[in-house]
Amino acid sequence: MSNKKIPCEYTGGHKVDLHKYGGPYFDGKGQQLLDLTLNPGDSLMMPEEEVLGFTLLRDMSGVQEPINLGVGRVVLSEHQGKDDEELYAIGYQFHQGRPDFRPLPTLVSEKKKKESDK
Amino acid sequence: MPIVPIRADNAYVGIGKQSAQGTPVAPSTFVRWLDGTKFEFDLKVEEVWEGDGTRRLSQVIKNNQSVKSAIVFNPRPIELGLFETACMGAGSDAITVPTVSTQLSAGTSIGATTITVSSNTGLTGSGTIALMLTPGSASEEVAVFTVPATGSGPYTLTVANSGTLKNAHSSSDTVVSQATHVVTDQSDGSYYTIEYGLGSLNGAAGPTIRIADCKIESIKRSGKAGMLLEYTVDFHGIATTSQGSPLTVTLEAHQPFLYTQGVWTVNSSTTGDALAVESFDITQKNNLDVGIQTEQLTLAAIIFGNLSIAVTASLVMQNPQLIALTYWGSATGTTDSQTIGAGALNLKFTQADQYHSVQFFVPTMHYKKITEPTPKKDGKAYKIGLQSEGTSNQGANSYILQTTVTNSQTTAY
Repeated sequence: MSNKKIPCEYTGGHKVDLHKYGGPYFDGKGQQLLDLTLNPGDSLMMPEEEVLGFTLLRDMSGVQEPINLGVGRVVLSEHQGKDDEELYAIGYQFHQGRPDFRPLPTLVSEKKKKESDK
Repeated sequence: MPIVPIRADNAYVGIGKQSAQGTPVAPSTFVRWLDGTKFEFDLKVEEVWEGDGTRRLSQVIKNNQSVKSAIVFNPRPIELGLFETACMGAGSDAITVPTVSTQLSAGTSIGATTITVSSNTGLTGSGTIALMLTPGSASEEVAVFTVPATGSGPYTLTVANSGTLKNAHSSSDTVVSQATHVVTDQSDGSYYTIEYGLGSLNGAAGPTIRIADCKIESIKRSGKAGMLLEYTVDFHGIATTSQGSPLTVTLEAHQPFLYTQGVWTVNSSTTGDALAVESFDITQKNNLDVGIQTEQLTLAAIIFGNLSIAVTASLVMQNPQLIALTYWGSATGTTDSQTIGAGALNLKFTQADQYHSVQFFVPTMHYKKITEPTPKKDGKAYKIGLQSEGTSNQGANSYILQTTVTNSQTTAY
C-alpha cells in the first residue's frame, strides 16, 4: 500500500467539510489548511491510491494473500492482451479512485510529459 | 505492558457507486453515523464429523462468507438522493435540471436586498422562488426571491419578505434553482462499495475494511415528533479487503431534515389524522437473493428480490375513522366488511431555505392493522397504531413509492 500523497483538485458538486480528526491537511502547494471547508476547485494533498485507485491480484481459491500490484490499473506482462472478464477470472480486482478528486499536474509530471513529447 | 484501547467513536463509514460488479470504488460520500451502525461478517461454517474411530470433531470448514452492514444516520439532501437511488435500483433517478441557471450581472455585498441576473428564464412566473447563489463555494447561500424578475435585462430580483443576503457574491457567480430527482423502484440495483474505518480514522491501529459489491437489503425512513428524519439502511456485500490506511473523510455541508418541516397528506386529507402523526416509518425491503454461490467462497452475485413497502405510524386518536376504514370497509363503515381499507400517503419535508426537500408518495396503501386504543387509568391521550402495505393497486400504479428530492446535485445519481 502506497502512502504517497499527490496534489489533487476537489471536483465534487458541492462544498464539503474535511473530517476534524483526519488531518492535518495540506493544499496542493504543501501549505497546511486551517479552514476545513473544501470547495470545488480547491486543491488538497491526497493519497495517490485513493485518487488513482489500485490493483489487487487475488487468489481465487481464497488461500493466498492478495498481491497489491500498485497504483492505478496494473496488468502483469503475462496477462497483457486479456479482456476484463478473463482478468477478473484470474483474480484481478481493479479498485477505482475517488470520483470527486482529480490529480493535478506536478512539476515532475510536467517535466516527464515534456520529455515524452520531444 | 500497557494496552492501547481505541475509542469506539473513532470510526467512519463511506459509500460509493460502482461502475460494475467486481470493480470497487473509493467511497466519496461519508455520513455522520449514529449508534446502530454496524458491520459484521456473515460466515457460514460446517462442522465435519468424520468417522475416524473417535468421538472427536475432526474439522470445521467455511461454506460461505459475505458481509452484512447497517448504517444509521440523519441524511443530508445530497446524501439522501444517493441512498434513495441505491435502494430503488439502477436508473431510478429521473432528474429535472434546474429551470433557473444564470449568472449575477453585478457583484453583491452582505446585506443586499436585490440581485441582478443576466437571464430571466424560469423567473417570469409569480410568487417566490428559492435560488442558490455561488453554489459549491465558501459563499454559497440560498435565498428566496420574489418573481417575476423586473427589468429588461439584466433582470432584478428582490429578496422576499424584506430579507437580505448573508454573503457577498461576485459578478458572474452562478445563480441556480434546485434540481429535482424523482426516484422510483426498478427491477435491480447497482453495486456499491462501503468502507468502514473502525478505529483507524484518528491515527489509531484499528482496521479499515472495504466491502465491494453491496446492495441494499432494506431501508427504513423514520421520523418522530421533535426529532430529525432518520435512515436505517441494511446492506449485504460480497467481497472484503483490508485497506492499509483510512480514506480522506469529507462530510456534506448541508442540514438534515427536521420532523417539524413535514407536511402530511393522509388519505387525501391534510387535516384530521394528517395533523396527528407522532411518529412514522416507511420501510422498504428489497428481499435480496443472497444465495447465489458458484465456485468460490464468496457470492457470485446479489440481485433484488420482491419489493415490499410498509408504512407504519403512531397517531394521537381523534376519531374512529381509521378503525372503521380498516375493519368496516370505509371511514364511515359500521360493521365487518370484506373491503380492504385503502388510503394514500404524501409526506413532504421542506427545509427552511425552501430549496432542499424530500417527498415520499405512496399512492395506494392497504391497511393491515390498526392497533386499537387501550384504556388506561393514567388519563393520558389515546394512541392508535397504523400498519399498512404499499401496493401497485393491481397494477394500476406505476410505482409503489415515489421519492422526490430537490437539491443542488445537477446530475443523475
